[in-house]
Amino acid sequence: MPVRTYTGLDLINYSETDNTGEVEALGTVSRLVVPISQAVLSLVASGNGASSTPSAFDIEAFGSVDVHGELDFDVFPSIPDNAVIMRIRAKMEATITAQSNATIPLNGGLVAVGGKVSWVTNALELTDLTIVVDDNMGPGVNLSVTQNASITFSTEQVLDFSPVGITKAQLVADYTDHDWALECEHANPTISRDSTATTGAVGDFSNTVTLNNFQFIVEYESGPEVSLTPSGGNVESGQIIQVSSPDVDPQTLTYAALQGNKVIPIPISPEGELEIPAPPTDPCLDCLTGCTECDDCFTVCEEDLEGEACQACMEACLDCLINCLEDLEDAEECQDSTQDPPAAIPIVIICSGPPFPGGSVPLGNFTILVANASGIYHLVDGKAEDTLYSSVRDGTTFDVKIPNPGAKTGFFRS
Amino acid sequence: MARVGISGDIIHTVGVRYRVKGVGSFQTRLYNMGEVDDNSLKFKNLDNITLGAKKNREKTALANFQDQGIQIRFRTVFFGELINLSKISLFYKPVAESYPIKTGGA
Repeated sequence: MPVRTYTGLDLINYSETDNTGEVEALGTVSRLVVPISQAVLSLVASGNGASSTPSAFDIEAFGSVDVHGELDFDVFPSIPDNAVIMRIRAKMEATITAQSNATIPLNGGLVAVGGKVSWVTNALELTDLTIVVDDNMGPGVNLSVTQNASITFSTEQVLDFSPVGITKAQLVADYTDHDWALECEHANPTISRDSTATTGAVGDFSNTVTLNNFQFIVEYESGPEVSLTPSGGNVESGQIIQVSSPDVDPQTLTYAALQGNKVIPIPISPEGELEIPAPPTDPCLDCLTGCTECDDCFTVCEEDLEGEACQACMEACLDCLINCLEDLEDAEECQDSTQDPPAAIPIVIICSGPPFPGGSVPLGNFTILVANASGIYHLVDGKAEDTLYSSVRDGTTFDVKIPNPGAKTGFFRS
Repeated sequence: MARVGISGDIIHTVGVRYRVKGVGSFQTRLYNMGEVDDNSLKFKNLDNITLGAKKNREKTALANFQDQGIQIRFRTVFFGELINLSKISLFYKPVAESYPIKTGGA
């Protein structure tokens, strides 16, 4: 079966966790609304190596952002129900920028700055950003140094279900709410000073991590793709729907309209077109079909019997018919038949065939706008739609498509 | 000898030209004579013409199709589309007198 992919983006939520530091640390996480695929983690820490402190000290700023991604399967409508999900990939890009500063006070000292930022994605991938250490600063007086670094990388997590795969239902049940736990941590610059310094150095460290382009990619296998034009929406009875497929001849498939539990077969034309079926008939007519046995009874009596035997047979048939009609009067559906049929009937067009061994697959949801449309066409200059009046006689009108306006010429011959 | 419309020559068409304006996508399909006399329906879809406001040029859909008779079907299929068609020209010429003939057959 062909392997297909569907790329969706739906970063629903995120959370932040620890921000701690030996000296001082402050971490904030902010999510940008536009685009929704971004989140930003900022860490800021500062310290002051006073004379009473060791000759070197660390400014440690730990921060992490846990990306809690929820797959919203409403955005994956094109994955058919019979698809076999092979894997889900969560992709993103991250940009890390960091800056480390240190200053030597008036009476001098030796200063070095540096730091490291690591990005951990569930231990699957580790990328370090190391700020270049400058250890050649001093001794001096009132010196300052600033180091910057930046790196961009992409990372990916894969949930692999191959070779068996899982169903779409399992996917929705188990992974709609899944914590992908992408983590950023360990911003750890060191600012040191020479032991000859009589007062401490000061320094600060800032670190920003920007997460970009979250993508959830679902890889699945399914039967051939079959699509309709239009793919859904409001239609009227008799409207032509075009079937197309890059994988299979549409003529080899079987099509039907599902209206509730009722299955209405739809033949496909040689040109690959389906015709929206007529609205359902009067429900009471369906009931009457149950009395055809009685109708046949009369015919049999007349053709095969004579005399009293025929008369007795006819009376029996009459009793049959009377009982049948009485049953019909009591039948709920016939009671309802006195009401106007609904103005809109939802149907689902499905197809089935050898390429879909699991059964049928839905191709599109349609609504037959006016079930028993009594077209009253009001001609308006420039109007490219028909106006249909609802059978419920409440003045409701619908603009509906003129069924494929066009014409055929006669044959050109030599 | 008069040869108009009755000789059954094989004709080859290279295009259809329309004087047409409107809104939407104008679809053209050429049919052969199987459309009317048997189940051997054969047709060919030509490139769609994007309809627009009136212009000083007629629009042509190229074709490569041949049979003893050629029928043009044109239409739009989507909601809100509009056709205003005032002329159709079919460009064709005979290319053969007949399909291979055998006694008692066509």
